[in-house]
Amino acid sequence: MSGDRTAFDGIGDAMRAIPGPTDAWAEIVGHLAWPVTLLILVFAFRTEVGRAAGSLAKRFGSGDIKLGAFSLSGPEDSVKPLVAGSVPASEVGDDAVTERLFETMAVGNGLERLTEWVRAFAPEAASLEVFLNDPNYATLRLRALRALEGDGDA
Amino acid sequence: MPKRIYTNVSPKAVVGMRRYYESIGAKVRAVFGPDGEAMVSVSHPSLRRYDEPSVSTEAA
Repeated sequence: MSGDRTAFDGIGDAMRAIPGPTDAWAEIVGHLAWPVTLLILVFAFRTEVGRAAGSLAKRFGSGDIKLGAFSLSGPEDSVKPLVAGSVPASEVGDDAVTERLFETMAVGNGLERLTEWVRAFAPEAASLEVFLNDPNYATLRLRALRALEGDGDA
Repeated sequence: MPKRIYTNVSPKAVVGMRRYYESIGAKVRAVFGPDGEAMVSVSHPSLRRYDEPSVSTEAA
């Protein structure tokens, strides 16, 4: 009888509405598999995930971050990436210029020559440390490198 | 104590860094990676953090 539909008929209708196992469906299910698995894992380990996220947030908040073998722990700490390599001074960026200045300081009286150059051409720099790291001295650093490598006067 | 960490440092530049920073009494630690480049940590009370350039101090 068509008028006496039960809950089982509804379930049957729903199951009949689900398409057969075609390639298109297999692809859709395949794409959903990883996100669903991830959701299940996150739900299963929600306590641990929450604790790890809280711990990370606390560390980033306090600035207590480890970088390789070293840890940064204060607002005054900083990271300066350099560029190791032999690129002509005219074609390099400030990171490579700083690297080359440090290399110059390693040879002979390079440190003394750079100190003298900074005293003569950037006397407002409080120290060699400031000259080597303050972004405002980027152009002067390139001039210093050229002067020390004999590629320019000053 | 404030710290500055230099990354991608060549062995020759590590020598220069040691020469300068140790002459001002800073503590220098270098760790070399398998590619021969080093990560150098310098600690000294005078170190400060520099942000983007604000005022030009160029002479020319």
